Amino acid sequence: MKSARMIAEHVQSGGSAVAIVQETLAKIDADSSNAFRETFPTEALAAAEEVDRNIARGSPAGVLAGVPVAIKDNICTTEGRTSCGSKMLENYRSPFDATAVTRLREAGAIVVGKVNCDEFAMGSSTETCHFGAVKNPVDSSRVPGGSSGGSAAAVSAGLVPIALGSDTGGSIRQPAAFCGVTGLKPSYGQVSRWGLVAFASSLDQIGPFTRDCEDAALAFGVLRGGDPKDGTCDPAPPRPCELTSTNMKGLRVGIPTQSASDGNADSVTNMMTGLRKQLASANADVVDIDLSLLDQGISTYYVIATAEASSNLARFDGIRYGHRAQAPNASPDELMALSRSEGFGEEVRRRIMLGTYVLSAGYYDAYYNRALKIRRMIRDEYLKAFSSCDVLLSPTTPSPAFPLGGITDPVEMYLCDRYTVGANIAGIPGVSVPYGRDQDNLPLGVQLLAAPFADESLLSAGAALERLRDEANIDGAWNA
Amino acid sequence: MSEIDEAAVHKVANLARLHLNEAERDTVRADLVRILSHVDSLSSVDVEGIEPLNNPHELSNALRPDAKDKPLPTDDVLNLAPATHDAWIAVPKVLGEGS
Repeated sequence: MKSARMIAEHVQSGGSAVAIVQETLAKIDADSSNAFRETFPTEALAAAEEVDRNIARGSPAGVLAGVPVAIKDNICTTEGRTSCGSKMLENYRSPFDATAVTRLREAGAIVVGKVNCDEFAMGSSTETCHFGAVKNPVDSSRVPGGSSGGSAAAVSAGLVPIALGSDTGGSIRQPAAFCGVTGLKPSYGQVSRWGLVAFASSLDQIGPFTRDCEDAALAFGVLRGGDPKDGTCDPAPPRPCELTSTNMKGLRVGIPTQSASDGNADSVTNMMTGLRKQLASANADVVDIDLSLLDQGISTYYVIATAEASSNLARFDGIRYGHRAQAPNASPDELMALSRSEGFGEEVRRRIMLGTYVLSAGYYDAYYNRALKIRRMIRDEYLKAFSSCDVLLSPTTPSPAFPLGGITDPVEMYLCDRYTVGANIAGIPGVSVPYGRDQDNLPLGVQLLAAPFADESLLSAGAALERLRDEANIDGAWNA
Repeated sequence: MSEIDEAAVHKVANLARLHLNEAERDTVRADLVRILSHVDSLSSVDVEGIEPLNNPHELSNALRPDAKDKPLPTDDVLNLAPATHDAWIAVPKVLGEGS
């Protein structure tokens, strides 16, 4: 599988989009990672034929002409089902496309299928998916990360060059790191969430998985831009994302002192030690940054995210759509409670309970309101950091991909997101770039963060990091 | 802060419209205690004089013109409902004997 830009150039200059989609569908059929929930052969081939026809006719070709894309199961598409990895929405068929999906189609991309995720995007391993866990294509005994595990696996296995995911606390960056691919969480407000099934509305953001930062910029340029259907979206019109300098020289790289943690795997510590030296020898300006609240991130996040989730998921009542329990004699209230208990899995129920608890009378101030105050302090700490550095650099995750079934304690699972939740709390952009492998050949990821709406500089810094990595002969993961 | 007994679990499940059996209530209670004991670290942060932040960019409401728009076709919406009756979504009896 080539990069998205190579495929688009090939199709724009007369290569067959149909042939590319046929090859993609065959590869997905042969895949055993369970990344895909379903494919749309008829619709995808028809869309590819149309791209080919338009180009043959001399119509202007889109920047993603003929590029096969996969869509996370919590983002609405008119083809197939939008199930959010849940029994609750097992047979839900969306009557409309998400804006992000519409934008991809308008740019000529071909939606080939839906990819699995943790139930309602709640999880860090894609093991809470009702349709079975997804396996990491690098090592099938390990998780792909989550919640966008199917998206990461689909790109890592070389099935598609672009997959959409959503990131509420790290759900794009963490699986990208685990699978050795690039994952971008744009600034809050850059990409419309219309048609993304809401988890935590003040944190959710849609973004692309790709092989590298240049493809991420290509996809992001298509995805971003105002949408009247999402009031939180910045109204600036869609526009391409141009990478500026891809050189480390003079770039002010902040490294949070808190990212050298005892909780990191040795391979992660070694990666950071090596990287610091490589940055210095490339004449980057490395500065130590004190993010004193980094360790409050997980607690702050789990209060805010579960509170918002308990409210957002109240819409699943078994009445208007989704799973309804068979209970002929139940009252409406009983029917709702039974439908929700049958339709939601364990992790979703756990988070709804936690969210309801922190919002309930007597606990609202101690938990929810306090978390919102600490949120402001965390956001301000990031904004202050960006007055003395251009990007913040840390590991994406404290460890590489763990074995399937390897983490059963919820708090231990939540701590996988230690380095990623901050970007959602503060609404800033973040990208995970593959950076070498551990002794078991598992990919490691480096996370870069930038100031709000500095997504373009973030991806440029990411491309500079890739160059540094490649020049140092460090493995850039991306398998297939 | 995180003393949470069986009655509290029952109350929260009721608020959340979740039907939990006894075993599930025990598991959820243990999970909540475990998670809240971690979250209790928030009480060590001095938040004196800090305003809550609901939204990272402090956005205010976005309004659209109050104009007619194209709604989803009724049939498309009805097709999603688990039970329908003519052009209506069917629900258990709300009024009547026993209510």
